Amino acid sequence: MKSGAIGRKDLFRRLLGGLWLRPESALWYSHMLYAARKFSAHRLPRPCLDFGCMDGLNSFLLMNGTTPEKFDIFDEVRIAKSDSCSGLVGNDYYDRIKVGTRWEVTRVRRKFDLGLVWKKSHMTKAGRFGAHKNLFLWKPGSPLRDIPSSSLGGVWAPNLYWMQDLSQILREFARVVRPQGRVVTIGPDASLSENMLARLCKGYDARWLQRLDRGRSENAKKGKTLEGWNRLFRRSGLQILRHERFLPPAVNLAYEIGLRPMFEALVEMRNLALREFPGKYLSFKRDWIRRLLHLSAPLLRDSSGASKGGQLWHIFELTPLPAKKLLGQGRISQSGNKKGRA
Amino acid sequence: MIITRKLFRSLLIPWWLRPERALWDAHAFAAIVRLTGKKIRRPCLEYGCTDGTYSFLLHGGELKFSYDDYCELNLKSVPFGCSRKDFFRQPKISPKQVIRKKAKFTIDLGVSWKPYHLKKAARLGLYKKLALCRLGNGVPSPKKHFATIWAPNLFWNRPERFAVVMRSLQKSLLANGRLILIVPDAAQKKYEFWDSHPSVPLHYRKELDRGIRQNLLQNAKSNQAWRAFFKRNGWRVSKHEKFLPPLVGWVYQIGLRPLFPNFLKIFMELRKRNYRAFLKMKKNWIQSMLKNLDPLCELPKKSGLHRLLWHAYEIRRDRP
Repeated sequence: MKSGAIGRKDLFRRLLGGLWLRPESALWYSHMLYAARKFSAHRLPRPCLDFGCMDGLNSFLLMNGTTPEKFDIFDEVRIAKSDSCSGLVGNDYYDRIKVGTRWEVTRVRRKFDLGLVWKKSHMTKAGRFGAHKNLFLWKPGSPLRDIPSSSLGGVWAPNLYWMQDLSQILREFARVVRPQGRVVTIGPDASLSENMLARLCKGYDARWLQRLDRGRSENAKKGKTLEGWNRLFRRSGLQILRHERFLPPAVNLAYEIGLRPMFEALVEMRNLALREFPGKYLSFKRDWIRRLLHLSAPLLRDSSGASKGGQLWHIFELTPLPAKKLLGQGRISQSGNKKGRA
Repeated sequence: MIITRKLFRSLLIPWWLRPERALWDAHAFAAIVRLTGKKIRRPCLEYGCTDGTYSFLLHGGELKFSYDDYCELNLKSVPFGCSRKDFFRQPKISPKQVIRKKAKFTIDLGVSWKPYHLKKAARLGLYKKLALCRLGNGVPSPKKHFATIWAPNLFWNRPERFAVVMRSLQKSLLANGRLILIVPDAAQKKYEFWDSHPSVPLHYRKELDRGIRQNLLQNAKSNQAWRAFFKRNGWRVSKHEKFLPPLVGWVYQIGLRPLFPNFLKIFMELRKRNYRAFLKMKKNWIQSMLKNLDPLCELPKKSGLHRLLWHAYEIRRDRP
């Protein structure tokens, strides 16, 4: 085991503590976080930015944090009567906060200096983990105005591929990261589209598919071959220092279906169980997690049925292109200002 | 596909924790309805009636919403994990009323291979008579007696026993009687879930699969091969339907089976503690399943018959 001595199984176990009703998400994240630790996303040169830290759980686990047994992200999920069975698109059940919630999480040794979030609820949630020194609300698509040029040592950007305009945000990374600084990010391969639920369910009701898909196929469309990503990075003033692929198709398949269609029903089950037998509740959750750990073991292996080349996602370590190269590409004017700078 | 949807809805009441199974059976039984229409001549035998639930619902019966297949399980017999053990083997079967609406049809004889099946089937008032019979053995009934035999589980027999059992069923049929059965097409092999994921270690595959792959594949043949097989054994095909889109087949092969014991333990506890809340949750659960799986009751657009994985046949004696 490399990756700073935390294996996928360990990451999966930690993720399941919070995400137990969505094991497919925990599985996906365990592969992603394992790849990120392998690329030292948890040991970036300071000051470092966590670009898109969401509710903070992934960032916290990346930094080797552990949560208590009672920790449960579904504790704050509320499904209103009007939501029930009304479809999954547009209802962000997680975008809610229970006032007064505190989790006795471990303190992490290393922290991100900055964390960018794009939902108010994420500010509060991520703040509880203590994996960021400062958190900022940011509007996706806008420039990173408050971050001076060449001021950061590193960026971890797990959600880059969600952005509408990839080259715009990559140019911003090239601007804010100092020469020889590092950007670690992930992106889908061009082959991901072929492995999406939408392909599997071709010919079925389009609205139903849209509901189950929740926009993921759109993200998959941003998939590129390694050459495609390389071209994009270079056009944006960055170059690849290191590259690997991760996520076997079998894990993707599990993720594509998983327990997502049953989410509302499972949350109701969880809430009722907690209300009706709080004393036994944790033992049921423990059994559930134990079962999932056992069932998912083959999917936590390195290849899980795919050669490295057949895996569906890329992870990159990038660095700003040296000024000379940028000049050659016409990215910097003679006066030294980067084009496209905000 | 209205009938598939209707059957799926009815099957979810007893099988709500195993929606993938309800979906598969809804497709199969809808094909049977298309094949047989409403006229089923008697006397009628169901060879492999298990606990009778399916035929009861197929013939217009309705179960009480509070009834499900789990309420009589002995939780101690439910192992942690997916062993091949039959969880349902030792239920505490009570004589309580489970019917909301009677079935519109009566089956003269129901035959199954587990005593508890017969006890449960007896409560439904669907069968005039029930009899125990070992899987793969002939029918305990007089010769040339039945006008219709419905055999939903013949494909569970090993290929070498298949023709033997069919011969025995033939003897029980009247000269112009018919046998209705479902069998897998050769395409089932092409769409076999585990075969397309060969890297999954064998012991995991065994644990998750619980022998289903063997049931699905051991008798898989093309329509042409089935017709040739029937002809060799003295039958002719009088009606034929195909059913089961590959996606439904895939959903069935995994579904909620791996987490079934965990669901069961939570829900049994809930049933014990707060019955009203439990029933409300079951109702919402079923609504959620209907909403999210409903489109799978349809055939995918542009799906040719060649892409459906199962056959339903009505066959008759070749030379009455």
